[in-house]
Amino acid sequence: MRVKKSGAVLSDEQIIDLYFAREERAIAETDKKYCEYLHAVAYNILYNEQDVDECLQDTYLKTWNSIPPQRPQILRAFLAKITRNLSLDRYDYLNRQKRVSAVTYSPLDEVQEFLPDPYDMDRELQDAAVARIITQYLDDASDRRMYIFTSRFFFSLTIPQIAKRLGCSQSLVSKELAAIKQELRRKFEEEGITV
Amino acid sequence: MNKERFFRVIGQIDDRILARYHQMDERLARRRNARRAVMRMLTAAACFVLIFVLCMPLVHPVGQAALAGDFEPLAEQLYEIEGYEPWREQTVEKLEQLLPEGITQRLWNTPIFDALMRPRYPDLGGEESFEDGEPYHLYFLSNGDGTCSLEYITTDPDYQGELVLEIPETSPKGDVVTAISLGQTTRVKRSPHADFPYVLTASTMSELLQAAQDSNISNFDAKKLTAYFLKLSVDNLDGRYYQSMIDAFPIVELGDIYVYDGNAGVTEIEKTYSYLTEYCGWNQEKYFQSVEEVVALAKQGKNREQVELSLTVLHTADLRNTVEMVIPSTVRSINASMWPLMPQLETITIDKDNPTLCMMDGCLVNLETGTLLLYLRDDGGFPEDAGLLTLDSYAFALSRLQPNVEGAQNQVALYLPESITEIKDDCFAGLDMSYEWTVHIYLPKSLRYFGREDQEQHGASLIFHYPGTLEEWKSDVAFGEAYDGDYIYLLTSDAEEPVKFLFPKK
Repeated sequence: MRVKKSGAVLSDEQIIDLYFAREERAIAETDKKYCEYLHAVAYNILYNEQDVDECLQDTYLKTWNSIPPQRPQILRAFLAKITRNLSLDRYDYLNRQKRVSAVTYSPLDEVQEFLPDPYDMDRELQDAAVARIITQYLDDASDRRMYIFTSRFFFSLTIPQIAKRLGCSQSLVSKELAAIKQELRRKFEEEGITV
Repeated sequence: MNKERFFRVIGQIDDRILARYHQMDERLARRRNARRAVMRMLTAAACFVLIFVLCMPLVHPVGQAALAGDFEPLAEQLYEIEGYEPWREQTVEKLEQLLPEGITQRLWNTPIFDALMRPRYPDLGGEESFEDGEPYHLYFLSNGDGTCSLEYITTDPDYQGELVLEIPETSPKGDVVTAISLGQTTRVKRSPHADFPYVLTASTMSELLQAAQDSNISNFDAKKLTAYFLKLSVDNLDGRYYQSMIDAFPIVELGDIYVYDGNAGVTEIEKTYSYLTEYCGWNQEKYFQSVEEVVALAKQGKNREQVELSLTVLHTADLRNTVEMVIPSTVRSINASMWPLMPQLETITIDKDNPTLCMMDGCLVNLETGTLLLYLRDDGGFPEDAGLLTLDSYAFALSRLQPNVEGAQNQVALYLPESITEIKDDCFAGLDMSYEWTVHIYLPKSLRYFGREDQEQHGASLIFHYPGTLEEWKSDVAFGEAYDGDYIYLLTSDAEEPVKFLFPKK
């Protein structure tokens, strides 16, 4: 069971300063402030407390190693990305070991619906292009669509969870997701990425 | 694996997007919290309303007072009802309007009658009447000749201690107390006014009919009757008698008036509660709506040439804690039916100057009539040389007889004195004994009258032994009318032809 950390929390800048000062307290402060948040990010992918804990430890280690030299503008996003990537790494590993949680990782299946195809010609170029298109799309998208897409495909929330957070029906979220997928597919086609 | 790779690419979205996401997430969280707070408030409000409704009886001022036993506020509102009586339909309806259902239901489980009546009639035992700390009040009825009788008693319902009933020699008005007439029933048959006759004979009724110049009793109304007896014209009847009447006697309700007419049989005059109360001022309090005509209903029945007025009073006396009774020198007679009201009575103290009543060896005796009034012994013996002739009603109601027959468990032998000639009705009623006991009562040969006994009032089984023969019993002893020809004879084996009898089971 996770224990909620108590006590005053530092600002992101103060935490980053601790990292730069190479003070180990930076990790503790990070954990105090973002533990629950990062736990949710990892848990939505791994669905296993032990794996999530290990993933969080790896997140803090990687953050320790990344700051410095990096100075993240938005620490929360920075941490979320690390946690997410590490969680996906672990998911891949577990998947290879056939030890994936019984809970289906549904967002992974959903991306198939608007996945550019072929998607293995020039990995790095194509990845960069896809990331740019998605970012651009989310930049232009309404708050609700941005929120739904990010919740679903970045933070791996379920549709009922998203609906609850938005205070709307699940069917509305599903409709919005379908529209987002359709628009992204069109964007990929416009950018010459074959679907 | 393409989808996994693509999924990773999604993780590369710009931090600005994530920052925007988090801003919106926080905004949504705030909205959710606000909505939750509103819901909590609404839930709390709903709960409060629910609790308020459920607890209405507790917060309702009248209900609260009623639950606390203070019925004054409730009674005050009820008195506004025309024709208010606790048991009347409109009163019940009004009560249900005044109070929430819960409290009404609770009230029905309380002695609401007494509770509602007491504040209105403090003389009947309301709290106000016991401010001086005395546990009881005595009410006397004047006989109009300088003497009076102790007619009624009210006890403080809050008083829990032992009661020592001290009867004074004189009433507050100065009348000498010569009788104690406390009865065990709520009905006291007395005239409500000194000028109003207690018993009307058939000849009086005839005079009354002539005076009223009306030969038909059905045409009689309360006004005419009252005016006749009070020697007043009908027009002069007013409320001035109310106070004198209420001073003399705490009347709450005038009961039925029965006219036993020799020619027409028993006649009941109904709706008589308005009979005197109307003319005694009660209507000023809107107690009754109007004067009801006295309706005569001829009924077939026994011919008794008298008219009996009965008055109902609230029975608010609780004498169960009475342990001692102090009787002054002036008292000459005591109503025997009060003994069962005092099961814990142990001591009777009689003024040494009382020439009529005295305590002799644990027995209360009327020396003038040779009557045993009360037997307080436990050994079955009687005072010697008392010259007892009569055993009064309820004489053994407080006896503590114990089994006294050698070799026989649960057997009690009571040998009545040889001088006894009369045993009054219900003499052995209220024998406080085990149902497993059998009491053998040996009657004297001198007996000439044996009163009726109600078997249901006996705790133990009673067997009466008569030393004579059946023929002697039949010829010498008059039996109580209630069991005349209806008792069972059983022959005993210890005499040539004695009589042993049991009273029939009902």
